Amino acid sequence: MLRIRFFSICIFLFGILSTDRIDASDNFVNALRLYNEGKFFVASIEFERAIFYETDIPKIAQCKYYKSLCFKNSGELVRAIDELDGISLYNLPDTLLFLIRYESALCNYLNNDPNKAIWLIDEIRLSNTGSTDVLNITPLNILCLNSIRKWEDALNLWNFLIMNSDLDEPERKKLTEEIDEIYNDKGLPKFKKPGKAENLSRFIPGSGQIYSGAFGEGSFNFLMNVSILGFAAYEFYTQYYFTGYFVGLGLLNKTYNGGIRRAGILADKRNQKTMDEFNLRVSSIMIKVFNY
Amino acid sequence: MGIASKSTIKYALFICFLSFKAFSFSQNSADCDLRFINHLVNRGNYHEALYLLDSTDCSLNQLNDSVFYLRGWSLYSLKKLLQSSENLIRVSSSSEFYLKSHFFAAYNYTHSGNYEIALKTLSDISIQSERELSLHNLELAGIFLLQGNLIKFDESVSLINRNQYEISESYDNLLRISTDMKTHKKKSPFVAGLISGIIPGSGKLYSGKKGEAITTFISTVGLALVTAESYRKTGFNSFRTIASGTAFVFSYVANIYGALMTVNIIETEYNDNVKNSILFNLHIPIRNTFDR
Repeated sequence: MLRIRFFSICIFLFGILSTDRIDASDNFVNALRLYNEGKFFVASIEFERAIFYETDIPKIAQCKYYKSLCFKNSGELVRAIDELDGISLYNLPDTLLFLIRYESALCNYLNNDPNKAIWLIDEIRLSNTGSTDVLNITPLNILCLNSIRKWEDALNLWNFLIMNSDLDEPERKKLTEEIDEIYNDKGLPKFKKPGKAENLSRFIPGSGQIYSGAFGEGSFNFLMNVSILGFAAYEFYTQYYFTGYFVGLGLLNKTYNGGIRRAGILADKRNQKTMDEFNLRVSSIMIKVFNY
Repeated sequence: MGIASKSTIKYALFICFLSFKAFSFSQNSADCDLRFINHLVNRGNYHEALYLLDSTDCSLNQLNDSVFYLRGWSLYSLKKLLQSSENLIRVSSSSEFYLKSHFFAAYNYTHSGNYEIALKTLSDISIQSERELSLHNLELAGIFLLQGNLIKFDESVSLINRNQYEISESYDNLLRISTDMKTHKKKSPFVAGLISGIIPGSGKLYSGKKGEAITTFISTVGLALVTAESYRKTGFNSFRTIASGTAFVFSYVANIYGALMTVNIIETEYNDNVKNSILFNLHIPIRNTFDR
């Protein structure tokens, strides 16, 4: 009897210890630990390992979600978007589904694709009736709408956000006034038209640069073009036709056309800076009031 | 034997068994997870695969063919060709990746300009079939063509079986390139410089750079006209004549120097194009054969 028990124990232990099965949940726990330690590259590998050995679809989706967070934190937004796009959304719990879609929208917004982010946000709104989720997605939605200059829609969402906030009545009123001030004609950012900047420089060299906010550069460009034109005119006047043509007009051709192109580039740069400043202002209000 | 001694033997056996299992378990945990690394390589996550291969666990498996193959293939995919070859060449003939590894190692050496090592790598490969022999001869022929050794190229080409679909197109292309190399006439820097001295810009036209030729002609002739105009109106010793004359001399000398340099550049461009075409036609057959 003792002998049977002894060999049974041996067989049982042999069975347990000789199994080299890799436990996927251990991989996930290990990956999550690395992620929390800020070791995003190694964590992304371990999440992939967990995906490789996992068979449960919601758990695979969870690993992919965390893997995308690793990429986002490493600044690899395109890889983060690809990872999120590769998740099968069928049969996932609502909480995870929301997180995946929210993250996808956020990564697209950060990757300068606000239109796709809005499309993903709309998908959340259509598929999810949970008021908390809709409220949570609203700040990102506002930033995206600001980026594509849909001010009225952004203002409506602000009002919705304030209405559903935990703020008391005087705070709500104060915030509404602040937001109205930002979104009225005076508060909204003024954008420069690159085409207009180029046309201005075409008629008066340097004026397009001044219109785009580069006063010093515009003035210098104006003086340079006028000086070269004056030189060419003087040379023609004193009957130095070749000098006037080749040196004067040849040089003017370069500075004049270059100035036109530069005016357009400066207008674009200025617009980007204005938009960034505006969104930073809006974001700081969100953080201050709602503790996001 | 007494009962006490029997149970002692049992416990001794039991402890030996547990020790053995514990040892073998620790051995398993130190192994590389090659199945997972292979998965990473197949997904194109080469940096991640290399990280795992270079980790402590994998470095214990220095004699493992799979480790050398996976490391070599990842490095090849990341365009680190010499490091890749150092790994691929260590894959032993017992491995299923032997031929692929050694052909790609030879290609990597060829691409890096180490033609002699590439030839040695190819000659060390143990060839088993006619198909492999044809591929081997095609690679040899390509290297001889890169070395400019057209006699050995012809010898190697004559040993290739053109009917193999993996190599037939590259075979035809290599023959076309060799014919082109035989008929190629080098542009003479002397002729380019001489004709540029007579007509500014014509040296660049001789090298096939029409746009640069027109620009050079206009600027040099323009400065010549400006100098002539200044000389006619103000005499030889005036500042205007000296300044424009100096500019003209610089432009004229630069025109001749530019013509010489352009000939060298177009010859370098031709050689680079030929080299790239040959490498392309060496690469495609080995990819068709081993990496489909």
